[in-house]
Amino acid sequence: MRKPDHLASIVIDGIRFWTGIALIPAYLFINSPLIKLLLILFFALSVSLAGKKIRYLYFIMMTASITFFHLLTPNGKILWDLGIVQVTKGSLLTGFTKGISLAGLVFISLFSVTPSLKLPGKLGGLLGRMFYYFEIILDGKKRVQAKDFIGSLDRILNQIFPLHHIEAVPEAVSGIRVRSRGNRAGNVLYPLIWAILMGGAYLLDSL
Amino acid sequence: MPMFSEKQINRIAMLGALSLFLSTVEYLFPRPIPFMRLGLANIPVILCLDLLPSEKGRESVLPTLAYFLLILLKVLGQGIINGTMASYVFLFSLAGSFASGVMMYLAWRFLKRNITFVGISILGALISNMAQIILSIAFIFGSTAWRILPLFLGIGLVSGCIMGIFAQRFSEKSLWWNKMRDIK
Repeated sequence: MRKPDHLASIVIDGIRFWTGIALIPAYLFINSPLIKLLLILFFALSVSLAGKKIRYLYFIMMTASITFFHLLTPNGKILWDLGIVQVTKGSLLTGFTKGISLAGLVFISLFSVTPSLKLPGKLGGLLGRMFYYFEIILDGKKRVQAKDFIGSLDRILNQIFPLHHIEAVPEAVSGIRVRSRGNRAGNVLYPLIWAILMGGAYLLDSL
Repeated sequence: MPMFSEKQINRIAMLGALSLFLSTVEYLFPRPIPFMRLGLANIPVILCLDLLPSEKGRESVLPTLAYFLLILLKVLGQGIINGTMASYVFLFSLAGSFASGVMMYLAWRFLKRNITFVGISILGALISNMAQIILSIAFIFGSTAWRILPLFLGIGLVSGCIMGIFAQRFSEKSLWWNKMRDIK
């Protein structure tokens, strides 16, 4: 069962999304890996509040592999000599910082982007229509069989979107996905809290 | 004059939804290598090529622009559903999808009589992986990451081949798809 999105009851999708977008450059401008790690903890907490899972092993592997590839180009003081590769301070720091920076960006995205996010304009309308169909087709997920993948998929599609439906325009394109309402205080406090947190991180970073 | 008719918009939205759906059922299939993704979501994109105008005088189901709109919808939809839209993952996906999309379109347009969905899919997977590796070398791993190129291209070859076979068989066997293709 999907975990509830607690942030949705505090802040509306749009403010959440644009706050996340503003956090990206702010996060990238911080130099200290330690402060970045601290911020990642806050991001992870927010992801959890948003009811989403974090595949920690994936991010650990990603950071480790980025660090490893940077170690192949020695830079700075030699810390350890492992025979095949020399672990240098510069490469280790650059690789690790880059790894956690990317992990942090994904975390920001995870708690800022919601399935009910509505983009403006014609493209937003088309996305809404696609999600409308997606909600319908998702009901057939349990009937998909790996052994008879094509056959089972065809049966589902024929049942859900029979010929006459291909030509029909959906009547209720919007309103299928429940949009978060947020509350007035939350809509103001949410970006404010992040602004204070990032301001604090800047101060620590500049010390 | 609107760029697409309501029918065409509906078809694009349906194919986009199918693409999102397929990305959610991907877990049904075992992964031989942990990082290997089959790329089931690309099947509707590959199939869509068959709905585009190819020969003079032949009435098409969708205009060429619809194909690229479908790719954009697929990438945006996955970014929203997975929550990666505000991260580098989205940019990688966008670059890989559009690079492969352009090459698949050109191959389909000019080699249609000599190429099947399997060939198209392999080409698309290789180009997509290539674009993503170039980006990862430039922005993430650094120049030493060229060493992983053969592995990723090998993975692309296998997954592209599997997806191509799926697309080919689906286009031949699916009644739904044949209806979609035949009704102008």
